[in-house]
Amino acid sequence: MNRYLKLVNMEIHRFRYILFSLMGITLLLQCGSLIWTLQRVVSAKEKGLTQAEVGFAIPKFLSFPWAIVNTKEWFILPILLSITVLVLYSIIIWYRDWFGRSTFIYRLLMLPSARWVLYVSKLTAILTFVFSMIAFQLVLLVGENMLFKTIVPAGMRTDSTFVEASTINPVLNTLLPKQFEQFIYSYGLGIIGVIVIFTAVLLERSYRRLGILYAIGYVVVCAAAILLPAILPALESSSSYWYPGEIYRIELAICLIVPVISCCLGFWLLRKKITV
Amino acid sequence: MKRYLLSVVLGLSTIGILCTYYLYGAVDHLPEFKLITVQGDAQEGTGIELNGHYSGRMRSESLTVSKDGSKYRSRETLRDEMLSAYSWIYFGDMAQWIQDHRQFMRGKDQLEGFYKDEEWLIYVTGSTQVGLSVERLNLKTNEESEYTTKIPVQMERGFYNVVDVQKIKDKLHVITLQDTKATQSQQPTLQYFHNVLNFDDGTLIQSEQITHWKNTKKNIETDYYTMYNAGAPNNYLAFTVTENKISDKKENSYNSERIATHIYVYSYQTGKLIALPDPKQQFNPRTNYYHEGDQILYTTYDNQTVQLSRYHLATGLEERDYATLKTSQFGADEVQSVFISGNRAYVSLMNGTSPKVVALDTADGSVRYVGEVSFEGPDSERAKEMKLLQLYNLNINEWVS
Repeated sequence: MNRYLKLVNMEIHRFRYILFSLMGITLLLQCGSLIWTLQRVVSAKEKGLTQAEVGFAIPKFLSFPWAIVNTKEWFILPILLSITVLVLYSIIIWYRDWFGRSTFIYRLLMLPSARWVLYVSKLTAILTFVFSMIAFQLVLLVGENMLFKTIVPAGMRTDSTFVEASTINPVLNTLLPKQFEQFIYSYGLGIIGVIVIFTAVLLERSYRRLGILYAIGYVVVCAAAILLPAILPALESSSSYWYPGEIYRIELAICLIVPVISCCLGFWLLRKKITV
Repeated sequence: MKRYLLSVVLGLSTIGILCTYYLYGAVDHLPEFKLITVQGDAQEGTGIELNGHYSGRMRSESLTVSKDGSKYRSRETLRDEMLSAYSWIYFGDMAQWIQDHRQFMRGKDQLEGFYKDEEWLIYVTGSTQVGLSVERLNLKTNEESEYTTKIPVQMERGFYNVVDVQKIKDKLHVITLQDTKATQSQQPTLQYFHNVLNFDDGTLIQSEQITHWKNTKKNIETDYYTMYNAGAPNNYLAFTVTENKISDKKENSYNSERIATHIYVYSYQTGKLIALPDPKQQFNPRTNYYHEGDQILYTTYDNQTVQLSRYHLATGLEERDYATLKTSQFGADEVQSVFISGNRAYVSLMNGTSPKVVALDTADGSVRYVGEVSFEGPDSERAKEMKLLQLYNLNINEWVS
């Protein structure tokens, strides 16, 4: 347990600058665009200018969801950037140990603990990065709402709920589902994705050139297995042999089997096949 | 410990923020509405759903209101989406059959292909290549059996569809819609055929064309439909023939207006197709027809009144306006929609901003249920919230998953 926590801490420590940079970029772009948009509209309203004169829409009352809709691109851009970086890092987190300075993987594999701890600690680190970015976005939204109330005078604004603001933008709505059950589905699928990527990387590290083919094949098979029950209704011209409740249970079973097999395969590759 | 500070702070604050969000922050504060019973048996209100929108947010919210409360589309999860797949198939009779005979009903989705009596549940499908495929479930012994019968067709690769199935004594009667060959006087058309099979072994006894529809009027398009008459035993098959006057037909535009509807009835016993007398009253495009047993019911309505009429198929007699509902009876302003399902005529009414639902017994037009949509919140907000609610679609939810 101690070794696992040390490894997780090491992975978080290694990524800290990138993580804080992503948070900084998100803060700057979202708050910057929000301030610019709000000041422009508030100033136009104070001067009594019309829509035709300023060239952009001026609502009767401003609301926080309205502000998010009107700064949509600047909200989406840093989120997409963060997602891209985190997806890429879930591959790099392994390769940096092989190709980094003094082939760090030698030392990691020589540690006097089970090798699967290495796999689990890297997975925990990636999940910590993802959920901290989500938590940061939540806090940022609260801050942005306060910013909105500071810039827009009380007479010019209407109240709105926090969820109304977070669901008005399709990307924020996907990242922060208002049902906890949907949160489990969305991030559960994300976790399965990371586990499959980890196993694909280990396949490549174990079998090298041939491993690339194995890795691609493995990712394709896992993706097909998970997607097939969900897209089955669309594939068939009419009703399916399976009832919807059964398709749902099949999907749940596959979503349990795929990560279990991937983890077992990953642990086995780390224990028996990885060479440095 | 100090060197773990970053990981500890990051982990604990993330868990804290996400927990706070899902415990307090994720509540959407959308208003709750409910269909409450004003008069009659509350059980009659089971399954009644009113669909529409709530426009009290920046983005309009789609919702369904029933006696269980309101269900907002935005609150649905992946599970809700998956469980409601094929919901348009798995309701009504199908829902009941699936509950009772889950294994036999697998992959069977053509409602018109079913027949059910006390002893048999039968499913028939057809194609020009295979012929008629009959699957039978004996409800007393729970035994399943099937056979295929080749049927003569005029077009080898043409359209072929089963539209009604009946078992009368020891014969299986299957009505099919299929392509016919062109003749000197007529273009190829879709026509209905009556196929009679020996129920025990599937031997074809007779296959006869029962309709000879043709379109002879200029600028008039005619559509032919059969009325669904449930899987229950029935001696008749009813056809709706609608005439649509084309007012505009160009490469990129098409406009037509329904100008007449005629009802034809085919008797399995006599093998005759007869036209029911057209209603003498002025044609009303808002007339809806339903086939129930040995009668055809039809509803006509305007803003203030709903009328139920029926044809008795055994005698061919029309009983016009045997039941009338007026909005004033229920303190409502306007009729929104009417539809019939399972011996009940459901009427959606509007009283100012409050939607109401009335269920009438189709046998005698008596009122069995009156329900009203109510706002489940403080009275001070009721008028404002009801004004933001627009419910415009009424249906009965009986689907299974």
